[in-house]
Amino acid sequence: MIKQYKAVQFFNYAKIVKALKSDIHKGFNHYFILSLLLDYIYVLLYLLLFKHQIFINMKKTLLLTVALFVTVFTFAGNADLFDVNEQELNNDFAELTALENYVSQSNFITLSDIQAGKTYDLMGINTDGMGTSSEGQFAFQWEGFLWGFLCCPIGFFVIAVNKNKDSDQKLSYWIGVGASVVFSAITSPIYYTY
Amino acid sequence: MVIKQFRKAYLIIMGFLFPLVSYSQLYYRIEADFTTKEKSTSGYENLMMGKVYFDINQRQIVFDVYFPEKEVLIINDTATITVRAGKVKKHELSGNLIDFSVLSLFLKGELDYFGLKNTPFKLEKVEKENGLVISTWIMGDKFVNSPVSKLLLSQKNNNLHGLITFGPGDSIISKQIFTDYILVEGMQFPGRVLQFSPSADGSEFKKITTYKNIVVNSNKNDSFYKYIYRHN
Repeated sequence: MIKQYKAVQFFNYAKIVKALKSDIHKGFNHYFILSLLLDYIYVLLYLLLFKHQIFINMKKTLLLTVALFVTVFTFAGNADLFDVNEQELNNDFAELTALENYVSQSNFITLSDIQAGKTYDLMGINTDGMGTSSEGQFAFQWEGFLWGFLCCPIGFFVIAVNKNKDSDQKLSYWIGVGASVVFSAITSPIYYTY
Repeated sequence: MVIKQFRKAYLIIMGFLFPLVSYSQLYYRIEADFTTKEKSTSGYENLMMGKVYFDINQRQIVFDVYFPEKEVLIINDTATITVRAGKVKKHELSGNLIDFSVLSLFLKGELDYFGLKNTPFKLEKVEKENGLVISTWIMGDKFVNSPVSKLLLSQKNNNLHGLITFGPGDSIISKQIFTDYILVEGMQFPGRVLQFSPSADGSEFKKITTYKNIVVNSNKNDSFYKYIYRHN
């Protein structure tokens, strides 16, 4: 019986070690943990059934099982979090890399030059977000608008001639001033009429 | 007697020379050719190429961009400023981008631990796995209201290899990988930085930044290192 138990015990550990070797690099694997739990239950059943024969081995078995569990949870895939699928990354950026190579060889060519001269096929690339950071897109600023609309004389100093305010703030201020003038032009006749 | 005097003279001379030699090893400027490629699963794509300049005393990173369009992008402590064709655009910043930029960390010699040693984050544990030394950093100051709950930092061959930032519920906010190290004046600089982060719209954002032709402590290109933009 001891021989049989030891054979099973060896089989269990061989399986665990094999699973550890194959799964440890794949990170936290639920099937692997489940298999370990089944092995653990299996070993416990043996201990219950044949405790009179394997009492000496019980302590060792439990310790080894716990040690294995601790190892598994310590190795629960932190290194895997740093893995990068280079192939997938290369595929994702293939078109941008091709454009990068073209630009590098074309001596400071800009996107506008490419689009104007149609020197490079940009069909596979979404260029909508490129080069729109400072030109072409006006971002409305409520702060500038309200200064212009509600209190343009002070707003002139706070926004219009302030070095720390950007062009969007200043344009919003002038929109506010314009809106105030239009609003006054509409409401003043009504006010003075009635 | 002569030997004693000689020793004293030697010590005094070395006492003066050593600080000078040490000072000469300080890095305060860095410039490099850079390329940034960005892609999001929502369809956003961007390619930016140019040259980057950083002087640690000026506290501004200056990007002289030639693609997609010729412009200068400045990052300082409070804002990002774009100057194109004389037009200035300013966007205010809430976070400190300069101190945790690769350029600043390299000059300060804090790149190996991403400058975490000088933050409220405390080193919790260190493990060794698959050739990586992984350290776990947790917020050690309960009075700091940080959106970052935990950081995993990995090192490979004594160089910074990766940084994973965790938010509430141990969700990954961003992942950065530093590869292709280049030896610059006896120090290692990552020639390639990968960044992955989930966007607010649920898509994944990927960014590859490459650096080439790195020069430190250059006396040229002062106009970029000390770039002054004129407000319009």
